[in-house]
Amino acid sequence: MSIGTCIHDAAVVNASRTGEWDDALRAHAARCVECAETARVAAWMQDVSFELTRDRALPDPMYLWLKAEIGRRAREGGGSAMRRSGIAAGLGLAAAGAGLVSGLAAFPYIAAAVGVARNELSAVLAEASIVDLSVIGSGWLGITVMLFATYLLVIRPLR
Amino acid sequence: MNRQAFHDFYRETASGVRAYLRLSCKSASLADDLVQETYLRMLRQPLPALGAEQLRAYLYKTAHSVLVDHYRAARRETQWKAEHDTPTAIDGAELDHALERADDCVDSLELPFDMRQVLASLNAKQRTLLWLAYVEGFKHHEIAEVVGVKTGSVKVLLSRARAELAAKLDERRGAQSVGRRVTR
Repeated sequence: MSIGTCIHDAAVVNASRTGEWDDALRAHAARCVECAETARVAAWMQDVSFELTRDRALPDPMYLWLKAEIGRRAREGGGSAMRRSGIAAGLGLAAAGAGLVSGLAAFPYIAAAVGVARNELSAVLAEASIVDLSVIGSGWLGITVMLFATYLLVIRPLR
Repeated sequence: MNRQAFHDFYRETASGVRAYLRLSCKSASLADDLVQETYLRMLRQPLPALGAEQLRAYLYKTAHSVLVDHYRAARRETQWKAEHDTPTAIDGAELDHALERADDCVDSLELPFDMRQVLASLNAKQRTLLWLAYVEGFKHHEIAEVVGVKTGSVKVLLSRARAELAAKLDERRGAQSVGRRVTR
């Protein structure tokens, strides 16, 4: 079986599609078995194309253009939201990293200060009466409850 | 591509693309949907700088990929049904058939009966290759690009399809001339 080896194959296809045959090409197609076959098949496919394309209403290109435009804008909006979230996450990570580094750097001082505070507190607690401790404890509990109530009643509704 | 360029390009190419897709679809409305998807997909992505002919080849490549995606989705749906809808499960042969759904679309084409008969003797791939070569006038390497096979394979497959179609046309012509002689 030949596989399109005739050098005039493309010219014959083109002539069959456009209907513009020159005499030399027409004479060649009459002699060459392969080109005759190509011309016959191409002409028939053109008939099929004519039948399939006539009287067919197509959607308005404006509709497609606008649909694509809406999709493009939605994607762009989504993209900028993603970028904003990325920046916020990056800043958060950087802040956490900086906090961790500074915490590690200050650890000896913090440990020393905690030690001193613990000793001071132990001394104070050893000397304090149970009544004083109850008052201090109730005070801290009150402050905690007040902060929680502020969150529930003020900050949360505003978010 | 700006709006006016798109409108011009669409008016020039849409009916051909629709016919190309229609050859491999079971219904006209499905072909219309796939045409829309083809152009939308083209508009969604930034187009490379192409000449008019290359842009047309790119359009057909997109159409082919939309068609393949459609049949892949249909195949997945069939597989899903096979796995989940036990009472109406399909057998293996039917599943294989789903892969070649494009082959049996000819019956529904808006074509005269004799044309449909001839087209039905070709498979979907052969119809695609013949359309791209002889209606759209694409060269072998462009067809290879559109359907995603090697240029050498396109030459062989196209030559085989052309020979089959020519034989079918000759057979039909022979039958018609015999019929005419009998009726005289």
